[in-house]
Amino acid sequence: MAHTTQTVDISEVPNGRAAMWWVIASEVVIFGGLIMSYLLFRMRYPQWGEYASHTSTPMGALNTLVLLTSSLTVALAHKAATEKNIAATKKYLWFTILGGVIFLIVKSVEYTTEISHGYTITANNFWSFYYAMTGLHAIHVIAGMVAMFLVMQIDVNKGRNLHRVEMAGLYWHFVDIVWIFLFPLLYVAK
Amino acid sequence: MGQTTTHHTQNKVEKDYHGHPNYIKIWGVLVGILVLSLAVGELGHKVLSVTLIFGLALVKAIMVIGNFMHLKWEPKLLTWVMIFAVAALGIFYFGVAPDVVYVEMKIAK
Repeated sequence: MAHTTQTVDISEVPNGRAAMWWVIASEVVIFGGLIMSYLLFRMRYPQWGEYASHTSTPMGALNTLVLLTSSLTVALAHKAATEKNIAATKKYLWFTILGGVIFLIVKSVEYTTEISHGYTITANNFWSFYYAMTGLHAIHVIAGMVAMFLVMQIDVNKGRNLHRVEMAGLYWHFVDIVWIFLFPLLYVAK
Repeated sequence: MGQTTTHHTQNKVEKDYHGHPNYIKIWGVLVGILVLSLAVGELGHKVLSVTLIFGLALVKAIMVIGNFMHLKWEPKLLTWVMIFAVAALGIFYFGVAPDVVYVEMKIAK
């Protein structure tokens, strides 16, 4: 199916969707502030590259793949909701929540390995930024999973307010985008 | 224009004016870019690798925002809201950089 863009007036944007974009813009500043501060210190102290070499690139890459795939499934849930296909919407929302669970398990394994090697949140400023950024991101992953579960239980199961699937999806995609930038910052750029 | 549907909420009828592109194809391209970004990390040229890795991350983010989040179907004002948020970060970075990066500080490294 071909899709073309057209001029849409701002007044045509549903209130919920506009509000979610506003939330995302504010979240950009929250995560962006942390990321910019990290970049400033990374420029100031090149030796942080050595600290970054102790993070696991394969684990980070695996989690990137997991979040990209969960972004796909939540987009498919939104499409199914648009088509009023309740069963498919629920199926894809569950897949997305499963993606969040896998992400958190992989992150927990990483944390355990790093802490057991002495790389704790107080080891140095690099590790303080590492745990602050990935920890805040993990909290957002949990919040996204809870939001999707609630939308499923309160609305999708009853076949109403299906547009809320898109709202939860927008939030989830943002969580994915944050990770897209955290991965090269903390795992790849040594 | 793609399919247009309506969602009935308690207060009003909302028009779904954006389309649904081929999500699986977009996911395939995103995974391809991820593999490419891992490969350029092995180039051996640090500055080139880091530049390419962040460039590819930016491409991935734009693809997610445009297609999965449907921003390319939304009014331009929403795009400008996002650009403003990112621009605020740029102002923060370049406003603080001279003090943080180039001035000696007595803080833990």
